Amino acid sequence: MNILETNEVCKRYGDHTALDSVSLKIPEGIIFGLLGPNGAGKTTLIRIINQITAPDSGTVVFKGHNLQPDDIAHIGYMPEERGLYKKMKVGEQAVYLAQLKGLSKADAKRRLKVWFEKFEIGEWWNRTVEELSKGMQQKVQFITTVLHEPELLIFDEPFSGFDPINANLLKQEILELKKNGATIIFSTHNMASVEEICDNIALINKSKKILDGTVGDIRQQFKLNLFELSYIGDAEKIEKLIEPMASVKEHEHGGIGHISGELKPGFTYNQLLQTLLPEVQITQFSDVLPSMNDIFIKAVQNSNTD
Amino acid sequence: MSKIFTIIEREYTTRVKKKSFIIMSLLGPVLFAALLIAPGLLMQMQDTEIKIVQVVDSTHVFRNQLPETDYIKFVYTPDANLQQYKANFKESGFYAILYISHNVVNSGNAVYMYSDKSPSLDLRMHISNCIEKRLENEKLRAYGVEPAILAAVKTRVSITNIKITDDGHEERDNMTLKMVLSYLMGFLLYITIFMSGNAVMRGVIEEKTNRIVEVIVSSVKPMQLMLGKIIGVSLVTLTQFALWIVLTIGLYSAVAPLLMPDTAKMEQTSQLITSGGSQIAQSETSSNVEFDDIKNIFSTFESINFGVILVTFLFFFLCGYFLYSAMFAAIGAMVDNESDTQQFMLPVSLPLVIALIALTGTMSNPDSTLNFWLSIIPFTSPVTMLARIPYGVPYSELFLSAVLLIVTFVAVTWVASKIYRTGILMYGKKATLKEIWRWIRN
Repeated sequence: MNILETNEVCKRYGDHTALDSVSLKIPEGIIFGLLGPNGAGKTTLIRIINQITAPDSGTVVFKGHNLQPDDIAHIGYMPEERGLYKKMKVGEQAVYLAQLKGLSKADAKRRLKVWFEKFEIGEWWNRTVEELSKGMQQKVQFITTVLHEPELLIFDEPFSGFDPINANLLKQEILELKKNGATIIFSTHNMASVEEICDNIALINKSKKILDGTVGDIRQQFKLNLFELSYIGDAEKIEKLIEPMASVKEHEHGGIGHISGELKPGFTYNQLLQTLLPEVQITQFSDVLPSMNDIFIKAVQNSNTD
Repeated sequence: MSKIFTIIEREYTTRVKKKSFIIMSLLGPVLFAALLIAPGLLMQMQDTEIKIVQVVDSTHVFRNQLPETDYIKFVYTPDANLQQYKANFKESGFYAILYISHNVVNSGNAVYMYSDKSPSLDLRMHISNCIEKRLENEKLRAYGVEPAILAAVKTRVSITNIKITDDGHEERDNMTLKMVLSYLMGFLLYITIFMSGNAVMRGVIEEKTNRIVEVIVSSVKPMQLMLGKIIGVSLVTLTQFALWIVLTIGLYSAVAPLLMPDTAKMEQTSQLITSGGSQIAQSETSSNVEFDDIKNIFSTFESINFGVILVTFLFFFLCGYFLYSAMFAAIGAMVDNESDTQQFMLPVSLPLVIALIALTGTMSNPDSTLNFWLSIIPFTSPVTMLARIPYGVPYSELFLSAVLLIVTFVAVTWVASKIYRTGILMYGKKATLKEIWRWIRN
């Protein structure tokens, strides 16, 4: 079941089109990466999902019904531009933000105590935010985002401004949230994090969705039939055998030889291996999939030239 | 709906807990009480010393003729040997020596006062008044005017304003009191609208620069956030008013009897005046002018409808404040930091400043055409109408002004909220007028 669907969502600001018929399906319980270069329309889409702005046309369906004001109690949002009231006490502030999400004061306090202990910031409850280090402020920010136990969490560039230790902590927490059944939308242009934790992605460029699917499928879709091969045997002989089926890009000789190459159209890895196996001893063979970063750059370049 | 209360609560409590609010709340009443007590206290201090003046009168016209007061006494010398009295002045212990020379009948510059201090203005005024009056009488008598005729001719005039109300009643009027009240009300409204409006604007800018605003509008509607802030700040201002009034009255009634034992007596007198008005009316005499003035003030106090003043003050304060703070909130949303607000603040607050400039005119001529229009036009009406209220404003005008103000404030809030909801999510750039027009149309 999809926890969230957007159907043909359009949004215009004056002459500028921020979103052009964007349709997404986000299955429940996954981590969904919303990717795209700066200014592509990611934040606009996220603001529409959070009902901060309304789409000009198109619909957003949340858990099977059209998105309605009460749904915000089930959505947690950590914006890219985020902050806290500097002069307000940490505890009071967290309670206030939780109340705005619909929690009662007592409930908010009880849950906050647990989180503050978990993140080891309990003694900062009565301090003002400006006394906190940047890292601690970010912990507070994260807690206020997840406190009402939303079913859908949206993080816009979550790792920007986090130091590596806190970024790692955040990643662990996000995975933990997923394990507990939450769905997470994750907007970023940091591709490394996408490969590690996302199940599905959608790529938005110049207000249009240009690509979506599971990370595995997309890498298959963009694969260039590159392979790596290790062997023990005669180097010249193996090059001759490979020649008709694939082009050799690199070849290291030695006790164990390494070849990286690209399969020619019309051939399969199995055919190649069948040819090689009787003649040389193969110690390793692997398909090389493109990184998400390569796919991202390629897809965006393709769509820009169209 | 409960969320807007949560916002109001936060806006209210964070401001009320601020040091600046507490200091203002305590300092205000101290200042007000001091203003109330100081004049009386100063008067008392001046008058407590008994001054005995030795009169050396070479004309013999004034012997035993200068009237004394509680604090000014005269001792007359048997002869006019000024040199001798001057020589003995130090040992004599008199406050001053008054020397009236023969020339006094012909020339005004013939009276001298010798003293080792500078005689107070009161004393000099008293003496010159008495001498003038005595000379006048003597001269008239020299021309053959009888004392009886003299007494009959002299009349002091004090004007009692009687206002004829719409339903034909007659009410006593005291212009001075009304003018003071008029100016105070207009000015107070100007100051509070400006200050609370500014507080709203700074709150909006704070949320924008702290980058918390997007977190909040993902939980509540921008309109709720804006209204919550505006209402919260208005409650802070009303709390401040209430504290000022209660603390000032408390402080005044606690301190005044200690510093000025006479006030208790005065209050008794005032009670006598207000309760027994008719009795006093019968004993009205020309000599009782000062007493008349006091009575006049008290009866004016009675004629001013403080209930109407309080209600209209609350109404025009709240509506005027909502009108301007909605605009100020929009300004806060349009800019990225406080220094950028100036260019927007000036045109928006101009009507308020005009009403303030016109205020001196309003209090002296409340029913002029200009002031009529200023009190009807919604952007100036809160200040001008409040300044007109003490003089009495026809209910029809009051009603027209109130309706226009409400309509305008609803319309302005609606437009402001459109600017606000787009503006708060614009970071790092100042909006152009063209963009703002687009926000309003969207």
